[in-house]
Amino acid sequence: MSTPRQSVASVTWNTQLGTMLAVAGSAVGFGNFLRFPGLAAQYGGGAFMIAYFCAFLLLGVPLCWVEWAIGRRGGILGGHSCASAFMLISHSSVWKYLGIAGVLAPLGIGMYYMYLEGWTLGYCINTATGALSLHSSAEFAAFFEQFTGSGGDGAAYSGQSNLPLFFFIAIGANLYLLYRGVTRGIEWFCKWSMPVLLITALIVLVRVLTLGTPDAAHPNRSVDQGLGYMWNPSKTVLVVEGKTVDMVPAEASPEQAEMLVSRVQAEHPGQTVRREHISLMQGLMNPELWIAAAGQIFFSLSIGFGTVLTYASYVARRKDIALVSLAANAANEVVEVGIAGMMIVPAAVSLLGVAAAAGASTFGLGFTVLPEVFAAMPGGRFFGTLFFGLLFLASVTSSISILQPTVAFLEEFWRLGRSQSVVVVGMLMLLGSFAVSWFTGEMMALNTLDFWMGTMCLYLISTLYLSIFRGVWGTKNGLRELGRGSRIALPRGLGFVINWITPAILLIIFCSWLYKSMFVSTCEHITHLKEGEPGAVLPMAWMVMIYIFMVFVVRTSKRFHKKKTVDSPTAS
Amino acid sequence: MTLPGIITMLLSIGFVWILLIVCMRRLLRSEQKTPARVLKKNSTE
Repeated sequence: MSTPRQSVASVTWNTQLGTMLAVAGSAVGFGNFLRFPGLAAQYGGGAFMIAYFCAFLLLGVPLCWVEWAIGRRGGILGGHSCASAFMLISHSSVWKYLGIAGVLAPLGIGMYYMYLEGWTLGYCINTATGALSLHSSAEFAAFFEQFTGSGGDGAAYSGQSNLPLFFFIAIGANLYLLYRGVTRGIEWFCKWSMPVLLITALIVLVRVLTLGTPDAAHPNRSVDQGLGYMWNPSKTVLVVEGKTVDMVPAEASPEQAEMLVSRVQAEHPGQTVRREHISLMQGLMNPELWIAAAGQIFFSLSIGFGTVLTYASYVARRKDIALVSLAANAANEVVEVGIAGMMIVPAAVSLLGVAAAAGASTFGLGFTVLPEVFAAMPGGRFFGTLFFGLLFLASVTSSISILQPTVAFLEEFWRLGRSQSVVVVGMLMLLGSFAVSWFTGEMMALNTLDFWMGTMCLYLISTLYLSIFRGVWGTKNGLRELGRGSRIALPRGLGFVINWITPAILLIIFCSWLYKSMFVSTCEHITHLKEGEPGAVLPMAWMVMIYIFMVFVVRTSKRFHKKKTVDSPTAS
Repeated sequence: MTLPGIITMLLSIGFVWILLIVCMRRLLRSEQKTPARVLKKNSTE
C-alpha cells in the first residue's frame, strides 16, 4: 500500500457528489435516528414540524451557507482549519486564537463519539450473535449497564464487558481513514457508506411498516397507532405522574376511551391517570417547542462543529458550494424526517406500546428500547443487526469529519505530514477517549464533554461564524463568495436573514437554554466541576491542556505567525 | 392515524424528498458536464 501523500494546500475533493456525501455523512448521526423521532412525538408531529422547517430555513440553511463561504474563502487563502481561516479572512491574529475553539470542540466531541461508536458496533455484533436475545426490559437495562460500564467508574474494563474491544476497533478504523486522506479516506468511505446506509435504513423501514398489529392481545399497539403518535397534530395522551403511558386512538368512541383509561388505571393503582389533549395551535404557542425544534436543527446539521468549514476549504475556487450545501442538508433531512421519522417511534409503539417510546432519552431509546423492539420483532435479529450496523456507519462518517479539523490544523500550522498529524491527533484523542470510557459512573465524563464541547462550544463557534461573516468580512463579500460558481440562485433576502434573523434565533436559543440551565434547574455540569468530581474535572483539564498545546502550535508556527499574507499556491 | 396526521407526514416527507431530488438532479447534471480529465486533474493523489 502506498503512503498517502497529500499536500494540505493543494488537496481538493475529487467530485462534488463526493463532497456532498461527505458533508451529509458528517451530519447524519445519532441525532437523526434517535433524537429527532423522540422530540417530534413528544411535541406532537404537526406543530413540531412547522417549527422544525421554519428553523431549517431560517437557521440551518443560512448558517450552513455562512460556514461554507468562510471555509471556501479560508481554503483559497491557504487555511483549512477554523483558526487559520479566521485569521486569513480577518487579517487579525486575535481571530486565530478565537478560531482554536473550532478545532478544540470537534476534537472534544470526537473523544466521546469514539466511545459511542464502540456501543453501536458492540450492539451490532451482540445482536448478530444472539447475545441480545433477551426477554424483559429489566434484562435489556442490565445488559446496557454491564456493556457500557454505566454501573461505576472503570466497570467497562472489569472484564465483564467486551466494549473495550469494539471501542479500540472504532478508534483504529477512524484513524486509518484519516490517515488515508481527504479523497482516498473520507471521500472514498462516504461514497460507498452513505448509499449503503440509505439502503439499509430503507430495508429496516419496510420491515417496520409491514409489522401491522404484531400482538393481537394488544390491538392498541400497531404501526398505525405509532405513526399517529408520531405525526398526528392533535392527540389525546394518558399521563401518569408526568409520564405519557398511552394514547387514546383518534377513532376511539367515548366508551372505548373510558375503557382504555380504566385499563391504564388498573395498571397504575393508587396513581392519577390524567388525559392531556395536545392540539396544533396549543403546540405552536408553546415556546419550548420552537426552541426544541431549533435546537434539533442546530445539532442535526452539525452547525458549529468546524467540520463543514474544513470540508468546504477543500472545494476548488470556481466550484459550486451553495448547491452542495443545500443537497447535503436535504440528504440529512431525508434520513431524519423521511426515514427515522417513520421508523423508530412506530416500531417502538407497535411492539412495546406508547409508554416505551414516550419520554425515552436519546440513548435510552437507542440502546434499551430499540434492542427490546428488535428482540420482539419477527426476524428481529437480522433487522437489529442491520440497524445497529447502519448506526455504526452513520457514526463513523460523522467521527472522521470531526477529527479532520485538528488534522488539518496540525498540517498547516506545524507543516506536519498526514501520518504525523494523525499520530498526534490519535494520541490527544486516545487519552480523552480513555477518560470517557473509564469514568462511566453516571456517564460523567461523556456528559461533561457533551455539555461543554458539544453544546456550549457550538453556540460559541456559530456566534463567531456570524460575527466574522457579518462584522469582519462583510455580508456582501461573503455572499459573493457563496455565489461564485453556484448552480442555484441565492434567495434575495438571504443577506437580511443572515444579518438579523439568524443571529436573533441563535440568541433566543442560547438565552433560553442558559436560563434553563442556570436558573430553572441547577446546572449539574458546573456543580460537578465545583465539587471536583474526577470524571468531570480530568476530561476538562485535558481539554484545557490541549487548548494550551494548540496555542503553542499557533505561536511557534512559522507559516502564519510572522506574516499575515498568503503563502498558498492556490491563493488569490 | 388521522387525516391531518397523514397530511403532515406526507407534506414533511414530500418536502425533504423533493428538495433532495431537485438538488441531486442539478448536482449530477453539473457533474456530468465536467470532463473526466478535469476531475482527474483536481485530484493530487
